Amino acid sequence: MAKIYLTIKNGLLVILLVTGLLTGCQKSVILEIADEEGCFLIIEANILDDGLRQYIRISQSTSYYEESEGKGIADAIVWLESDEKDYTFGAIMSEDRLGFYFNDSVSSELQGKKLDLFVEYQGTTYTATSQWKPVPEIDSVSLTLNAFSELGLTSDTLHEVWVHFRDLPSDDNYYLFNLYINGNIKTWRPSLKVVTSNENLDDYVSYSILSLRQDEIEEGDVIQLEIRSISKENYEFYNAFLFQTDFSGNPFAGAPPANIPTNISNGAHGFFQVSAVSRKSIVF
Amino acid sequence: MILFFFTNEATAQKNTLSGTIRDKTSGEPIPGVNILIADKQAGTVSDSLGCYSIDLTEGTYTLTFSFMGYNKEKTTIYLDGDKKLDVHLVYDGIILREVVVTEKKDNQHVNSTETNAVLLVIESMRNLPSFLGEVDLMRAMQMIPGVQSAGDGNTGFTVRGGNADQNLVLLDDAVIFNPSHLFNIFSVFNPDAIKDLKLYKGGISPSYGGRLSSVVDIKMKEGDMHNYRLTGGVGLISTRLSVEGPLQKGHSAFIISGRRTYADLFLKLSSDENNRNTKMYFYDFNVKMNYVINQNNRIHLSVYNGQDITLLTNLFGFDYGNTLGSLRWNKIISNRFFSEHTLMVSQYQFNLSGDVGQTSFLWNSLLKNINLKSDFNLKLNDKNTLTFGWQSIYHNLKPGNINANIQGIMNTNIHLTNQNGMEHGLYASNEQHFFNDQLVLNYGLRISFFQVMGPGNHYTYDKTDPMKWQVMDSIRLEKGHFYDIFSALEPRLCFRFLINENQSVKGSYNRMTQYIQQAQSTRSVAPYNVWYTASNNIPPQQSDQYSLGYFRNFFSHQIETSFELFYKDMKNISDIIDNGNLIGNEFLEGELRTGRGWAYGLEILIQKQKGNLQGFMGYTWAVARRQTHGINNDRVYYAPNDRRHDLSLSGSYTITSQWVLGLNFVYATGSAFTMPIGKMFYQSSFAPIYGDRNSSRLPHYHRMDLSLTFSPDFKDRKEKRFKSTWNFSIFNLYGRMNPISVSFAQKDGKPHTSFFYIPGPVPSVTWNFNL
Repeated sequence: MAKIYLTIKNGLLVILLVTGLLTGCQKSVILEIADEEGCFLIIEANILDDGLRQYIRISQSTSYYEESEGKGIADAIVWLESDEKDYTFGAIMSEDRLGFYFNDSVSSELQGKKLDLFVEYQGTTYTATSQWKPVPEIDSVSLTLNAFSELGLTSDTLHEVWVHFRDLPSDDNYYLFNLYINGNIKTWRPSLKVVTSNENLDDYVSYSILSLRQDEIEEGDVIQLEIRSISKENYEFYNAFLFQTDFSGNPFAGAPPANIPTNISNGAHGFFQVSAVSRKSIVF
Repeated sequence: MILFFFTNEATAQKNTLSGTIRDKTSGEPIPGVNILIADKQAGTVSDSLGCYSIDLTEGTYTLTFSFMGYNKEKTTIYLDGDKKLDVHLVYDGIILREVVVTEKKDNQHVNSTETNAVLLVIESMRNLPSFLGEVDLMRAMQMIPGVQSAGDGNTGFTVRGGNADQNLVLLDDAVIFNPSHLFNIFSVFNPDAIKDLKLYKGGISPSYGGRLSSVVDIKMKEGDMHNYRLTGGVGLISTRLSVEGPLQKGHSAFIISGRRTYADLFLKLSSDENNRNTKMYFYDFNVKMNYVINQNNRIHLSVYNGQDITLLTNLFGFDYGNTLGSLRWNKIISNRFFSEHTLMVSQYQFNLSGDVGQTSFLWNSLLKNINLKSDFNLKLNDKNTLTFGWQSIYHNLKPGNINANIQGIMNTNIHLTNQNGMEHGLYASNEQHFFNDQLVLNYGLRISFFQVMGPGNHYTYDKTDPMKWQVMDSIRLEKGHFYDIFSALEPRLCFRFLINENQSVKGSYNRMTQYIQQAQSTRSVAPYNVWYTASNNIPPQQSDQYSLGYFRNFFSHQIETSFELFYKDMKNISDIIDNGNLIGNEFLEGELRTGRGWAYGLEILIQKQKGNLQGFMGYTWAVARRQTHGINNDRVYYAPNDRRHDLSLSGSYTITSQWVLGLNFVYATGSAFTMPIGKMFYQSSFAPIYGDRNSSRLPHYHRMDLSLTFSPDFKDRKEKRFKSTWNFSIFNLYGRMNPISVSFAQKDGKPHTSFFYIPGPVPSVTWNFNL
């Protein structure tokens, strides 16, 4: 009859109630949209300190209904700058990786740094800045039966994945959580990622990240949890992403359509974020 | 400070004829009765208390008292000094074959000095189609030209390009913060408890203040002073029952009305335990008592309480409601001097609670105001009537205490800062008649003040980046202390120039100031009503409105028409920044920007009030725009309720004395909304990229409703005490899908757009009775 969405926004629970009254009255439509392809540059730059190869993806926006991921741009010049050093990202000229730029050295030199992103494309330079911040070490990961399952409110058996860690002493930290099963990311799109501020978290945190249905995991599967440190702006970016996509148009959510905020200059969309990362795995 | 000018003519010795006009059976005073003096081509209208007063030289006069739904009363009187003449009019049966919109009687449409005022009478709507069988004044009001409906399944409305929070909705003078039930689907007004609704969209009297766009003045029934009556109805979703009668015959009366929906009662029969533990209903009750102390003093007490209760499977609770009370004392000081003193209390509260395993939360919020006012009406001479008074309101806005607890993880207690303020108004106006009543001028001034009061917090923002204000500093406001003071002079003016008996020109100018406003996105139906006061960051809103109309009646007043032009300019009206967070946000002001809004248009009304076929057609052509620093890159954009064309047709046809056919048709240009101009692909997900705010249009809105009313007891109604009617309605006859909102999401890895809408057609049947 009704669905309840619980999400954490600005440290608060945001409750969205969708009654059958309204979900029953949703109709798919195709709208006539006066749009153009390739108007905007999209920059996806999430740089981690895990010592691995890092990528930045540069693409073009597409018309709304086009089923394309956006043409990758291979002829941009992409680099990061810290106070001491520049890190050039090189493009790979293969058809399926068009628009991806890679660097192997930046990841291991990120700690404590503030980095500037530069993307030069067709005479315009797009810039953004991001500061590396520490992240707590994960103590352990555990699974419990979800409260809904316990109460028999869902036909599925749900397993709730918990993460346990000692929080950082300062109160202005923001975290992003990802979940992987056997190396495949479960929180694959921005609306599925869990973000939170640590302002209202206890010193020692046990945090329920998400629920997995019985058919999503099998005995012996490796469940890996990841925490990333993010900025307040990036946290707002993910919240806006959720409201502008999954909750879009919901008469109860009350979020008017708006562009997802960005930290990139000159009218580009997307985000540049430098993160510390901490991971822990368990076997189901 | 206020200058008045009166014409003092040297005239022959005048005598004052005055009195009160009441309903013969119930003893209720009847405002708006037309009083005509046959030999003099002169007349007057009874005021809101049913009182009238007219100055005449010595002589014999024949007076006619007439009001819609009542038999005309003719009296001849010889006047040789001041005289009192109380009149009782006889009500014309239970079903009135009248139309929805009525602006009083005969040439009242042309003659009335109230410009832009529309009266809706509940009885007249029982023959018209209704949504799920619930006769709803607020919904009918949305058909009036100049009023824009917020959409299907929504009682929200805006007037002449204003915002939804700019309407002062009053029930027996007490403010209603959220006049809706069931997530805006129904209004809080039980048709059995309500007498009428009067909407002012311009030319607003200086006795009203505090909102920019309109006043919706709803009056509850007074109760029968002589007989006991039982009225009620059974509909598809709710049942109503009202009892009224004398407490002390001829001196005091009461009316108690209740209404409750009962869909949830069937859930109890369900075999599924989750369904059994689910509740979703609303109720409301109205109580009104009035007591005649003596000929010159009368007291009225009105109480309303309504609640919406939603409880999903014992886990998630959501309830909200209004509680109002008003106590009014009418005193006739002399045959020329009337007064009214009123104390009003309004409260709106909502609670949101949940308890799901380890997670629980509770959010309480409250809006309260205490309002005291006095109004005086002094008939200076037969050319001048002076109205004056004062009003003081204490506002107490508590956006909430929020407790969120996840066992062992977090326990957050958030206390959002309360906002308090005192609002005062002082006003005077004079209605002056010139050239043998050919020209009537009503001019006045309201002076309003607002004081921000502690306790609370005062924030200072760094506003360098208009898109993102940052909190710089905060000051604690002490309890009982006053801080920012705002004030405004609000001149009001309206005139009526009678060209002849069938034609007139009316115009008005009014300035309005609004000190408290609501933070809500226009299309949200969630009852999180967060209001906030004017402050150092949000200055009070102000509007200047001009209107000019030509009124003409045809065929001995059978057909009434009007053509009105308006222009409204609004200062400091607020809008929400992109991705603004209004829920549980202590720094709410940082999410709002104020700017300019303006609207203009033409409104045409044609109505027929007599005969078997009755009805009206309203058409509006209008534009509503906004410009706000920090929104839409500072460019001009359309208000969401901007509708170029808006057409309403409503009518009833009496087939036989037992059968009446009713029809509504509505057409409006789709409302303005923001549409994507492309999309981005980021972390394996699509997200829309939007262009200018509100630069696209939803599909056109149109809908037809049909109803058939059957009155089995109509033929012998004189003999029978028990009377009943059946109303069969079909809402949205041809099942038009009118979107409430649009979703731009992703489905199966593809961009996906969909409309939220209320499906149709919606049939209903309601049985009403009267005993």
